[in-house]
Parts: sequence; structure tokens; C-alpha cells
Amino acid sequence: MTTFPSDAGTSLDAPSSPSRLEVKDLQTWFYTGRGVVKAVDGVSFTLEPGETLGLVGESGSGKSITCLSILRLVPEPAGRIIGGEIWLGDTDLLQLSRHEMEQIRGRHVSMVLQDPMTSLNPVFNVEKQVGEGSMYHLGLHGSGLKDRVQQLLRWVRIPAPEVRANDYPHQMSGGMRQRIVGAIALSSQPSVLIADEPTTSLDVTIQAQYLQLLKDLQEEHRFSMIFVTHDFGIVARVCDRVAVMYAGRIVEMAPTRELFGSPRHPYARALIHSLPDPDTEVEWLTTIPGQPPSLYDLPPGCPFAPRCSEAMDICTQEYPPTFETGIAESGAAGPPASHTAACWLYGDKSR
Amino acid sequence: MTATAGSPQPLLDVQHVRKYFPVNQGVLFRRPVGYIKAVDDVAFTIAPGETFGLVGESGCGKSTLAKLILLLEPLTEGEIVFEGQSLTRLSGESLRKYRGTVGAVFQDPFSSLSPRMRVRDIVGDPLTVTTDTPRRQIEERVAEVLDQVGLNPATASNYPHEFSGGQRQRIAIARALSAFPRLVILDEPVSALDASIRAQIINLLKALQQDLGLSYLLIAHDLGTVRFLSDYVGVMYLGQLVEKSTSRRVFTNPLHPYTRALLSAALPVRPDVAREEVVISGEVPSPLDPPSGCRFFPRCPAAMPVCETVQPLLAPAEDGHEVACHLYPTSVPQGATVPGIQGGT
Repeated sequence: MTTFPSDAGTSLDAPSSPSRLEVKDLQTWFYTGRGVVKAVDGVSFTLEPGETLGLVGESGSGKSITCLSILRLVPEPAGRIIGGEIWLGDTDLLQLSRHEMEQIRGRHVSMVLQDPMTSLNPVFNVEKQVGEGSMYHLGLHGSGLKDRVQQLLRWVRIPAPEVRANDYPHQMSGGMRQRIVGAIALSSQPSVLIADEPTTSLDVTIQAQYLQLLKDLQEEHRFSMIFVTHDFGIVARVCDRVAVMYAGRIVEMAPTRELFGSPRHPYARALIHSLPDPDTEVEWLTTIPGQPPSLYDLPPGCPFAPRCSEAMDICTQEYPPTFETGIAESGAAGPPASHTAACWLYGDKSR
Repeated sequence: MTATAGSPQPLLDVQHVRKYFPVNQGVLFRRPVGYIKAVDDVAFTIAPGETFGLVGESGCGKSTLAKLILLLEPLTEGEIVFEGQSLTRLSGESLRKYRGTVGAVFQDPFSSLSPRMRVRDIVGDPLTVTTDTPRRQIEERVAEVLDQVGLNPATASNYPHEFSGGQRQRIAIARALSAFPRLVILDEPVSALDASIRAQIINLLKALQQDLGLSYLLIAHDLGTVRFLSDYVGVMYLGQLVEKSTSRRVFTNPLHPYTRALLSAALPVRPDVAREEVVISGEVPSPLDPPSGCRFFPRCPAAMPVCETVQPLLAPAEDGHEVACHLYPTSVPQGATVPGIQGGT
């Protein structure tokens, strides 16, 4: 039932056909002893081929669970995807069998995790770990596999790949380890790469190198990217569009410049204004009162309402739908991008 | 002495401090085969009521320096003078008193607070350990500092797990303040906190400093936080200070190539502000075997032949702005014969 071609004979340098990823009304809930946690509750977005979408939010806002849901790796049985659709091209990933999903995962959609220290296996050498995907998805072995591994290592700028392929993860620095993880993620030329805080464990100068590498690789191999981060600075540097998440939902979505230039949702606005900026001097920082809500006990209506300076009566009663807040300036080419916010400020105020 | 801080009598005076950790080898007869030069000849001062910010990548020695000041590690060489008294000569009662006058706030409020102690005991601990204050007065003091950091004193009998991350960091700050310190070491005080909480804690730290006249040694990798809180900033690379000046000068006119790369790598908060992008190649070399000459030269975009052989000195390049780089003639050590560059004054 999947429309993807059988992979065994795929040419090495042809990327899997670029596909559009569309997430519709995704709901991933966790059933725990203390109650139901709606970690992701009605998330929708699209990712065009070649595009980079930033997913920003604080811990517990649902950004990582959204990504794990796309790969169908939500920890079961506590967590379950209880609703929604995830379309990759013309396949709904949520309808695939476990076996069919294994053909997608790592082949068409792959992931780079936060900490290369834990995502690499310490007892296998680099060659074994980088080659695994090519062996499984592309049917390579022997000297063909060896060549493929060295090609992948060259892609991620590992010096002397023929020597380094025999190294174990502990023999490499943090930045190099994360590049190995990148090589693994790229090994089957995926059309979507999910990067979940890939630079959080790296130093700033190494982080800058890694972000540059990801951008170069994206240009060379034309994959689209979901970039999960809590750092607005990274968003500004790598993302085309940004979705801001709060308590399991997307509260604002806009092209990057638009979001920074005129944030619409009060949460996004307050967050951007509260960041200490190394380029300016201020007397005091703008703060957001209160703290993020507990997902066990979300207030009715908008979860940000108790901290919001512009809250109205309706905000505490009903969760706002997503409103279009005015067409943004279009980019260099392509259709005008939309700027949406889930906030009653942009709704019909007579309600 | 080069007094960076404008005040004549610094609160803390760190004088040419070194800390080497031996690397031992051998099973029965363990002997050092080398030394990790975690802190290698670092000097700076902090005046009363001022904040000195230390920036640099992991492994550059910032946290080791904090441990030396907190007397959690012995010095290898050099001297740290606090209020005119050398820390190496403290013992007994004076040592106990010193530990009360220096507080510390660490990065992760989930691991820096004991889960088995009530907030009252956590916050009162520095007083119990460093003074002979009677229990009743300790409880009064705990209520007072909890109020100062924005927590309800009625929560003093709760345990840390009953608080959120931001509140826990407030508890950690209350503990650092309870014994009336003069200096507080802030080691990455907000990097473990959520973005919407950070600004609250940063503002609180600044307000407390103004109200109580505290001095801070701030260690942070987020340059926005450093710029907001610091009066003076020192940039460290591989155990040494490579640049030191007022916060404004370092951020608006960085002199050292490493500082420039660091500022450029720290991503802009606003994408519309155009910034020079300097991506430096390579990684931080091992402190076990640092490069000869200038330690930054293998990665430096402006490296010259002299950088490989002669170690530059941290010296004032323009009024009060100190830098250790051969691009500035004052950094050339006296007597060094450098083709094309005149020896230092």
C-alpha cells in the first residue's frame, strides 16, 4: 500500500523523491497514573520540500513528542497517537503497518538527536554504525558498503575517513560525534530530516560549525528539515518558517523574519522581548509572569491566559482556533506565506 | 597590578593563579606523566558591588577558577586575596567565616538542592555551618531571604520537589544569600531554566545586587545574560584570559580574534540585525598539550608566523582594554625578537 518504490535497487546519489510532509490535527496523549497528559493536542503544519521549519517551545511544550509521533516512536504503552493524520507525499504514516513503517524510518524520514554521547553505541565502531542504514535500506555490503561509509563521512567533513571509520565514538570530540550522527541520518538520502536540539550539547563555536554544515548538506542533498530548538538565535540563523509551541499546541506560525519583526501571539511576543540581547544594553529585561502550566492540570480555555497581559473573558473559557493574522510579505519567490496565531485577539471580538 | 576595576580596594583580587591537574600513569607506582593546565596564569579583580563576567567554551577553565575561589580546590600557584587577606593563609575560624562571605549558585537546581532536606534547612545551612547563630534567628533569616527572592516564607517546610525549576533556582539563590555574603559566584545560573523563566531570574539577580551591594562572579555561555549583568568581562581560552575590559567595550569593540568569533557564533536574537559571520575552523585543543605560542593560533583566522612561537601577553591595547594578541604591539613580551614587530615597551 505504500507508494514508495522498493528501495533495494535505488541509485546511491539520487535522493528519495522530495516529498511534502503534512501533519493534520495530531494528538498524542500519555496515560499515566496521575491522569491523561495531552502532550500534543491538535498540531497541524506542512513542510514543503527543501524547507526548514523551526519548532520552538519550552520543555514540555510538545515539540519532541511531535517529532517522535512523525516517526511513530512514541513510547508505548503510556503514550498513544490518538488522532490525526501524517501525510508524507500521498501516504498516511499513521495507517502503515509496523513493517511498512520500518521502510520509512531512517529511509525517507530520519532524525538527529540531542546528545551524540548517548545516541551512538559505544561498543561499535563508526563504520558499523554509519553503514547500518545503507546495509538495511540500500542492500549494500562488502566493499560497496565500505565505500559508501567513506562517502558519507566525507559528506559530513570528517577528515581522513578511511582512518576514522575504524574509530569508536569515545575517540572523537563532541562536534565530530554529532557529525557522525548526521552521516547516519543522511545514509539513505531521506527527504525529511528531523533535528531535535542537535547542537545543545555543543560549544558555541562548534555549534556554529554544525549549523553551517547542516545548511550546506541541505543545499547539496535537498532534504527538508524540522529543527527543534528552544533557542531563538538558532531559529533566526537556520529556519525559513517557525512554529511556536505552548502546552502541546502551536500558538503561532510565521516566516522567520515575520515572527521576529511582528510577533502576533502574546506568548511569542513576550518571549522574544524577554531575551537578553548581546547587541544592546537595557536597564531591565521584560519578564513573563508566572510559570508554564502543568500538563496534568491545564486551565480551561487558552493555557497561556493566566500569564497573558491581554487576556479577555473568552480566553479563560474557550481555546482559540487558529486565525490568519494578515498575509505576510512573500519571500523571494513562491506564494505569499501566511502568518497565523491561535489567539482570540485576532478573532471576531464580538463573540 | 593592573586594576581592571576602577575601585582602589578590590573585594577579590585574583593574582596570577595557576591550577594544574596531574595526569597519572602506572599501576603500582603511579607517577604524573603530564599536567592539564586548567587555569594558567589568570589575574583579575572584582570591586565591591560589581559583576565580573567570565565567558569561554567548556573546558576553558571558568568553572575551575570558581572552585579555586570557593576553596574547593587548592591552588597550584598564585594568590587569591579577598578583602586584603590571602585565601591560602586562612584556617580554622577565619576559613569558616570566609565560607560564609562567599555564596554560590550553580547551574542545575534539580541536582544542587538535596531532595531530603526541607527548604528551611537548605537555605539556613550556610548560617548553621559558618556561624553560631541560634536556631530561632536562623529561621527568621530564612523567612527574610525567601521573601527577598520572591518565595512565600510559608513554604519553608516544603521539600524541593514541590517547586518548579524557576522556584528551585530562587531557593538556591536564597541559600547563597542567607549568610550575608559579599561575593556570590554564579555558575551558569539560568542555562537550565526555561526561556520564559530566565528573564525573571536574571532581573532578580540584578535587583538583589543593587539592594544588597553584592559582587558577582558570573560564569555563563549565554552572552546576552553576560552583557546584561556584567560590568567587566573576561574572555577565557584554554585556561588563559585572552581579553578583558568593560562589558560595553568587549561587546561593541572586541579586539581578540577569538572574542570576535565567539560573539559571531553566539547567535543574534534578532535576524534583522546584520552581523559579521565568523565561523572558525577546528576544535579546542587538549589542555594537556596546548599549542606553543598563542594557544589560539591553530584556529585563528589572523594567525601570523610569530603566533606559533611567542606567547602574547595580556596587556592594555587601548585605554584599559586588555588583550593578549600579537595584532596589538603591547602584547609582545619584552626582549622577544620578532621580525617586523617592535619589542614591547
